[in-house]
Amino acid sequence: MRRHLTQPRIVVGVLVLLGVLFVLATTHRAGGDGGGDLSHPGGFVGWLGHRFGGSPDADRADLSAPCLQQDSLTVKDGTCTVTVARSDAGQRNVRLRTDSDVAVQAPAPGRDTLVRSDVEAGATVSVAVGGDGADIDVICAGNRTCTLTLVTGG
Amino acid sequence: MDRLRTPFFLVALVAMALVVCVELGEHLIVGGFDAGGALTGQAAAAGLQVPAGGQVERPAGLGIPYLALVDAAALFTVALMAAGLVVPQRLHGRLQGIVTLVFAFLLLLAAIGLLVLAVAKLILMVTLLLAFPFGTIAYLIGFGFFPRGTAAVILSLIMFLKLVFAGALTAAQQRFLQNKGLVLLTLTSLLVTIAVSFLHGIVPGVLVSITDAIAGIVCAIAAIIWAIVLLVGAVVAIVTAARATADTARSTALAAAAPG
Repeated sequence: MRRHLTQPRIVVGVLVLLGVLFVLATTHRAGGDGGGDLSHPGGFVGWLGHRFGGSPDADRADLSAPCLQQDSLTVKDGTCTVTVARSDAGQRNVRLRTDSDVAVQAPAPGRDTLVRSDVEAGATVSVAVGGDGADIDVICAGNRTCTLTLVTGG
Repeated sequence: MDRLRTPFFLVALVAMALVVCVELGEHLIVGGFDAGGALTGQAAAAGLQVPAGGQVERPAGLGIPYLALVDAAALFTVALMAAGLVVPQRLHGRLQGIVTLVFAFLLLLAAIGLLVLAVAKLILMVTLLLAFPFGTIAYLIGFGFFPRGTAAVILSLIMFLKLVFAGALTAAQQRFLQNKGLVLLTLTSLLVTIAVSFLHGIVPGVLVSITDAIAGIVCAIAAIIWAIVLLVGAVVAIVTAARATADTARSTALAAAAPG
C-alpha cells in the first residue's frame, strides 16, 4: 500500500525537477543576440574549429589573373581580378599579404552576396572561396602601385 | 488499482502524438523570416561592407526536428500498447516483435542518415565561420540569425506536452512505472528536450545554429541507442514467440497422437 503512494510522489518530484531544469535552461541566454568578436571566436566554437581544422589554401594552379606573376600581384591604379577556378576540393582560402592599403571584394562562398573588406598595408587577408570558384577583385585606388603576395602554407 | 484507466492512457497517447507533430512541423513555424537588416548590422560591427537588400533567411535548425527521432520511439511504444486494447491479445503478441523489428530498423537507418547530415552541416558552419571575413559573412547569411525566441516557445510547448504524457501515463496505470524501458525512454525524451534548450542558450545568438546542430547530433545518437535497444528487444520477442508457437504445435501434435 505504501508503495502505491510513494511511487507517484517520486514521479511528481522527478517531473517537477525536470520542469525546473527546463525553465533554467530556457531562461539562460548567453551573450544576447550579438556575436562578440567574429574574427576570433574563442571558447567552444574556437575549439571546434581547431578540432575540425580550417579550409586548405587554394592550389596555385587554380589561380589566374593578368596581374599575377608567380606568387606576386601588381595592381596599378585600378582593379585586378583574380579568377579562382572550380575545384572538387570544396572551400579553399586565397591568402594575400599586401604592402599598401587595398580593398578586396569577392562573393561570400556559396552565395551571390558581394563582400568588401578594406585591408591595411602589411596585413594579410584571407578570402574564402567555395568549390564553384569565384572572381576576387583587388582594388588599388589612387595613383599608386600596390603589390600583394600570395601566401601559401604555414 | 491495477485496472488501466483508458482516458488517461489516451491523453498520454495524444500528447505524444502532438509532440511528434509539433517537432516535425517546426520548420513551418521557425525560420524563413528576412534578417537582411540584422546581417548589415553584424557585418558593420565586424568592419565589413555588405550591400543591403539581399535575401537573408533565418535558419529552421536541426535540434527540434531531430527530437522527433527519440519521441517517435516513445510514441511507437505507447501506440503498440494501445493496439493491445483493440487487437486480439494472441495476434498482438505475435505481431509485436515483427512490427517493432521493422520500426527499429527504419529508425536506426533514419537516425544514422540524419546524424551524418548534422555532422556535415556542423563542419560546414564552423569552417565558414572561421574563414574570416568572407566565410563569416556566408555563415551569417545562411546560419547567423537563428530565431531562438521562437524555438524556445516551441520547446516549451513540447516540454509541456511531454510532462502531460508522463503524468497521464502514470495516472493511467501505476504499473507502467515498473516498465523500466518505458520509464527510461520517457526520461531520455525529457532530457534531450532540456539539452536542446540548454544548447540554444549557452552561446551568443549568432552562434546558436552551431550548438543547435550539436543538439541534433545528441538527439540522433540517443535515437540510435534506443533503436538498437528496440531491435534487440524485437529479436528476443520474435524468438520467444516462435518457441511458444513451436511448443504449442508440439503439444497439439502429441495430444492428437495420444491413444484414446
